[in-house]
Amino acid sequence: MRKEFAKLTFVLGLFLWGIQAMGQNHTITGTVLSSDGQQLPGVTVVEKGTVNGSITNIEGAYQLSVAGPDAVLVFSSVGHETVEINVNGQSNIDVVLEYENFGLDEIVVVGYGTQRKVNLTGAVSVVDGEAISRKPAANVMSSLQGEMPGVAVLRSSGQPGSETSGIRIRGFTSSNSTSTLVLIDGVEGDMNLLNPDDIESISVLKDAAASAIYGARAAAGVVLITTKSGGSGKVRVNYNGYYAVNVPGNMPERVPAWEEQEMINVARFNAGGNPEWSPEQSSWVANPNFNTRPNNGNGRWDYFQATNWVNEGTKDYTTQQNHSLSISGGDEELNYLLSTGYYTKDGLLKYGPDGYDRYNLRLKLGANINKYMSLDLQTSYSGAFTETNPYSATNILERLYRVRGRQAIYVPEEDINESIYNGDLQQNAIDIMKNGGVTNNRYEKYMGQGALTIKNVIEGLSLKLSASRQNSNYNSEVQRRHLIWRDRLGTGIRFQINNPNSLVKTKNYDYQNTLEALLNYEKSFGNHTINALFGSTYEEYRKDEMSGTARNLNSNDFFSFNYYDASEPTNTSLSDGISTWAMNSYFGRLNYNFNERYILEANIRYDGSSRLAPDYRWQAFPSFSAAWRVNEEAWFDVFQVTNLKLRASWGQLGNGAVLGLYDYIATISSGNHMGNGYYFQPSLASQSKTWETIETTNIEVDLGLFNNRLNFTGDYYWKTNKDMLASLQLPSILGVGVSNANLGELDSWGWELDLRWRDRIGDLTYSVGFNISDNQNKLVKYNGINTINAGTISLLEGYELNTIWGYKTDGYWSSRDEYLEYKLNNPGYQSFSDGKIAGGDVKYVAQGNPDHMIGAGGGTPEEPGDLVYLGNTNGRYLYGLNLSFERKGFDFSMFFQGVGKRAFLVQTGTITPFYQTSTMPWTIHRDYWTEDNQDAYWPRMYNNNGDDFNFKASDKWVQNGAYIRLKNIQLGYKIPFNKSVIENARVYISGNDVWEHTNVLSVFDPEVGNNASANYYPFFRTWSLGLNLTF
Amino acid sequence: MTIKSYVMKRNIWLVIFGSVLLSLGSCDLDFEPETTLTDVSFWKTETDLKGACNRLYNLLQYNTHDTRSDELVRTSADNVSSGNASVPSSSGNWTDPYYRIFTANNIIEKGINANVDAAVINRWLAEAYFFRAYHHFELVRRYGDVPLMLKAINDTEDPLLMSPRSPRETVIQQCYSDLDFAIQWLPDIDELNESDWGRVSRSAALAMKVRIGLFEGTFSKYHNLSSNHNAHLDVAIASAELLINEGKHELFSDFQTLFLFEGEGRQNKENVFVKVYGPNGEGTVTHNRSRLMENRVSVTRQMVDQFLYTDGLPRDLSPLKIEVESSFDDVFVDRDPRLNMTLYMRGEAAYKGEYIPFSNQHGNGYSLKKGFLLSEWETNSRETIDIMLIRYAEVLISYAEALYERNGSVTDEQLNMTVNALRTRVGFPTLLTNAFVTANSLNMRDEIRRERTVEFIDEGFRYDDIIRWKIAEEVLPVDILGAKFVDTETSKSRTEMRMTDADGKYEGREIHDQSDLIIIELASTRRFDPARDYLYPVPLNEISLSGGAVVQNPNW
Repeated sequence: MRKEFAKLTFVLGLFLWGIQAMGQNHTITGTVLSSDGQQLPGVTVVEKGTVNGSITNIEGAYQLSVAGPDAVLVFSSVGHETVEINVNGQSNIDVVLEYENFGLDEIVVVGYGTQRKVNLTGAVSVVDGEAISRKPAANVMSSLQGEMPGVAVLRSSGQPGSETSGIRIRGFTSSNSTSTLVLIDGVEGDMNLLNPDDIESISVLKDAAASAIYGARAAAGVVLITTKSGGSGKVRVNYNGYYAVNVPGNMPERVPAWEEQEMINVARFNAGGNPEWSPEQSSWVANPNFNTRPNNGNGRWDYFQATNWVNEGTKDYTTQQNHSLSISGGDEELNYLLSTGYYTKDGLLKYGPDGYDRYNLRLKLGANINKYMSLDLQTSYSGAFTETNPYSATNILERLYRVRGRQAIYVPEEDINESIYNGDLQQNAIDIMKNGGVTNNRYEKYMGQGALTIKNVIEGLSLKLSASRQNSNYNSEVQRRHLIWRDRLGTGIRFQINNPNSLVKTKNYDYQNTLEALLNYEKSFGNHTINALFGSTYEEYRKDEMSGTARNLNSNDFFSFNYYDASEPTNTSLSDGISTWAMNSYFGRLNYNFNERYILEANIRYDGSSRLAPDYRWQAFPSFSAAWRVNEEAWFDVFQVTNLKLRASWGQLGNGAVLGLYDYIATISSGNHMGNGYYFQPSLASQSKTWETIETTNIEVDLGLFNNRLNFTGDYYWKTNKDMLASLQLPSILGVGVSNANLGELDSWGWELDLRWRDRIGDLTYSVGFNISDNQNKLVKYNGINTINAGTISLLEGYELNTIWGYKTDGYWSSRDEYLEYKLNNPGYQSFSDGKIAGGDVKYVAQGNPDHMIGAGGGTPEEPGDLVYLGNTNGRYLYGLNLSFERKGFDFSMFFQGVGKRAFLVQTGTITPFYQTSTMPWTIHRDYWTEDNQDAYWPRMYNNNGDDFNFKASDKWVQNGAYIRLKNIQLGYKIPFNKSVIENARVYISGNDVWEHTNVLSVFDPEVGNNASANYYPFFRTWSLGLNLTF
Repeated sequence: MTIKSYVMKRNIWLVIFGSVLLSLGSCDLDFEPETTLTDVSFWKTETDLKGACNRLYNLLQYNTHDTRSDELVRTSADNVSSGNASVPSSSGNWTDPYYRIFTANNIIEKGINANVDAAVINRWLAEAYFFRAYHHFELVRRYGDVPLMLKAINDTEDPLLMSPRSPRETVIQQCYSDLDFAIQWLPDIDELNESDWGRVSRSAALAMKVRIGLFEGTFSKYHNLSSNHNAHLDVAIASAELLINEGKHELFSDFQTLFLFEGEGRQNKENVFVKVYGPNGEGTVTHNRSRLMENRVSVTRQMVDQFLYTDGLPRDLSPLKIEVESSFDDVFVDRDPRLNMTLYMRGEAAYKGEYIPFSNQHGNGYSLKKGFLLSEWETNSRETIDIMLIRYAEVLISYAEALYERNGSVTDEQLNMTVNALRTRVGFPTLLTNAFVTANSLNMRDEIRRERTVEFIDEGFRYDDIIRWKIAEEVLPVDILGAKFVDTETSKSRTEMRMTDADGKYEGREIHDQSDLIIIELASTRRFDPARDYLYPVPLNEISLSGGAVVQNPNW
């Protein structure tokens, strides 16, 4: 295979050498005006069928040299109709451009080609590259949030380099992980490694009609990203950059040390124990002049300091910046674009490594070799570099939240220890940040792509051959320094981490080759137009990774495999792993258009994958769709309706995201037990496993009113995942893992609305866009799994995914006597931890007669005991609202985004003060139950020691995750320069995530995942100042 | 362009397209794992067999500081001990043993075809048989009847997966026969070379039979099961006699260092089956026993009161008892030497310097000294002292108990080789004889049980013992008492501490004969339902996933 690839590259290279330049000889000048008589700057004037072109200046004037007097000029400008004019020997051509009948001629990128938007039969949403590059966001994925109906961006945290975890198109298509297929210029890639400024457009293929051409990997939707190419005309230099300040969003706040001590005392007393400290000792914590005293009994200090660890360990704000510079230009024969990008963001942790850098370089060349052949070449580099602490940022945050407030950061000066840091009651997170070591991850990816197009040999027929190779290098180095915190005498060790110190180096090299051949035929006869596509691809992937670990390095400050204690076998470990897969596919598309009125389309793809057992390896995925452009009918004449289209589609798509590489082969895993290898079979092989097949049906209405100023698109769809891979639920007496099998069934359905109004009043251009979508699902079949307990149940037959079950509560018991009396009146009733219950404990309401122990009953939805359904964690009614205005060089936009309905739970250990001895209370917990504060939000303080009896999943603790958020607000100004010097200069100030409204507990961002925990890396609010310059 | 060249061009063009398609079509989709062994390529050599058996040791666990009985308490109530447990959806107590049983069954089924001598195969299969019995017994102890798994199921449709619970007698009999295979084929403990230390030997298999026989015999006897309890006791007695007569084992001389590094290895002939941790000082396989002694558990006053006085008499009978204690240390006066080998007295070098009651440790009971090593505590949960899972002393005391339960009597000679051997080792001056029991109106059964209780504190026996003796209903739902509080002996303040009053009462209730004993848990918060709590609840998922073939234990 590699041979073929090399040959193809060579051939493509030869063609490139053959490119010749040709001169121009006919010059045309003129002025472009709008229909209301204004001079139009920035209008593109192109010689038709070439890349030769120019742009009008501030007076609307242009000048262009064309090949000959019979050339055709194309005038186009955003917001205006495009006009074509035959030169016919003229040398002065003035043109008036009508305001655009918005949207009709928009060209949309679809699978293996493009299509006019009006002729689409499938559901495709499009975002313009400018919408991405104008938003200063951490990565491309986060800037997609709210832009398109039915496309949900899953944010994970504010941690540099880990902001998003994926996108979900039209809700769940499977209970398994489904990854959206992202194709960058036709090659599978990671959109977050892209330079946002490189993007020309993003198409999201949402239904089977649009994406069946991608077959087995298309079920979760397909994202097609097209990068910018060089244009014709003079050299253009474009700079886009911003500098931003990130302020952490919602975070839990800790109470002062003396208050914390009081809560600890109360909690311990309530739990039947003794206060940790006497009132006198507790009072010393509040005394700023009395911080330590030696404890002679145990060789330690007693600390009475008051330290706000979270403030000491985190920054008030962080910064991020992005700069990209591109140069493009070209002529009819050759055009080019060179772009570079740099992005950097530093993290919240005050000390030590916590940051992310990204570098991008892309070079594109397009060559029209002759009438029959054109060649496109592209190469790119992306580098992502992350620096973190090996203890992990989230664990450090957790320590900052856990350490007692009365523990000082430093040991007293008279201390004799080598370390100045105090790790008496808890590990010292500040010391860990400064001295715990470093993790460096370097990921670098190179891509080369060449495509040769042969066309016009037979009219309407074209052949495109393309090949690409992506290589990446991953280098990870983890240096863990051994830290020890001693007692006052220096003899006893209070805590230590990274014992022994260690160095782990992981390196991998991977490549992915893609070969593709596409044959396209287009033919019109009379009112009939036929478009046929046939193609095949082969992809192969191989990753070779190796990892080595050395422990007990000679020095804590010099990390190399050359210097460690090699005498002990357990100090060394080595491992390697090779991953391989390949996929071979054939696909075709037939499109028939009758008189621009009736459009039919059929797609099919036949996929074969190395991941499946030979007998289950190949499968076909078909789709059919039709559209009726009602407004094109002769009889259609409805006031102000300029566009009306009905369309429907049906198809089958595959999901193979959960297929392992060699699932059909029983493998033996290994491990190391004190230097001895051990071997075992972790799970049974599954011979008969195959892709999940998702059947999708979509109906849609497109409506354009008032010259398409108002556009409306409405979709309704339903999908059935018939062969969902479900983990076999088997009694654990089996004693071994099982691979999943195609035995589940998931129904999913929803609707999407997209409404846009674009117009201008005088010189004010404005637009309003609103989109909203809903999706629901139901797990129809899942191997009969129907067990529930208090908490989130991800899989439950007959219900949607991720349902929350919990108990009903009714405030708090006012006293133990009340509880006992209730028990007496309701014989048999008993709450959790019966012996502990007293005033201020949650009153759980029994379902049915309160004559039993509160519990999960039979543990099924049919026999739920006292459990009730409390919602699910899937977001519903996702919406985005976009407002923008532009006038006299000023532009202003606001973008709101939100979720209408969602429920989630917070991790018990996070929401429960003193769930463990080290889980500290926060300011929100101040409102806890006491005799005098019976109306409190929180139950009484209790030294829970792992017993969650007051914090069982219940209606009291489930969070309402609905929110609305001002995702972006932006004000820009185009500085009027002489166009001949600076074509465009725009400055802007922009705010991301600056405001939200929600009922979620104030310490959490409403977008945190289910089972949110204290140590989540907070999201940021971002303010940026940016500049966009074009020469 | 001529027509000919046009056709030529089209042909070339078709050739290009055709060849590209063909080359793509012929591409390879067959890949095999290159860095992972497959089941087909494994199970060939002795190294493979041994490597597969190594997994059994990797999975073997040791449960530190069992707080399910009246022996050890945590700072808050243990749900099992206090009777507050509820039926879980799933539980490692059920799942983990079956995971290990599969591992053993897989070795038994596939190892048999290895290309080595049958004797060599059997030697490794014997390890698997040992662990299959070990883990089945673990299940029976908690759940009673459990599904018996003797096959490594390879097909998820196998009807065996819907097996109901087999009667405990059937499971126990299978354990015996698995152990018999192990006894026949496992090497003698002296034949293990140093690098194999920790692997099971013939001794371990014999001792397991003693343990299982005694457990099942007494459980059957006191819970009035229909099985022949004497037959189980006979298994225990016979296996114990075989092990004793083979003479491979003897008691380690020093009870105090027995639990420290000094007790490691074959040089300590008391080791019968050991979970090896280490390598020492570099721990990659570690535990946190010492660490947890400081901040998790303490010993109850109930246990302290079990220790004999030096005159061989229990607390209620001995004239040596201090009538009114005025110090924390008073309980240590004239006691079985093991009391101070097990617990700290004031001022002894302990976890964080000198031992100060209530102050520099977390519990309000008596603090553990047995097995504690400061240098290990300082590793912060990377401790590497090997843990004895079966020590010879257990075989001896179990032998004595089995004899007494089987015959209703035990000879002085038998007492000397068992109970008195343990007493002599620690320098306890009074021996247990039939005459002594008669003279002091003691009960021989109680004295043997007492010996077991005090010898094995914090070694994970007490809970199983009170279950099989059927005394949990008496010893669990009571006030759990801690140590004696004396203001001048601690930095803690008396205020807010819950303790007995001057008459040993609390809220009018008779608690103890001493004042100022900390009441760690009130009897009113504890319960034990004899109709329910002698068996664990079966996890709900196991019942529903078996389609109801597995049924719940009574009253859960």
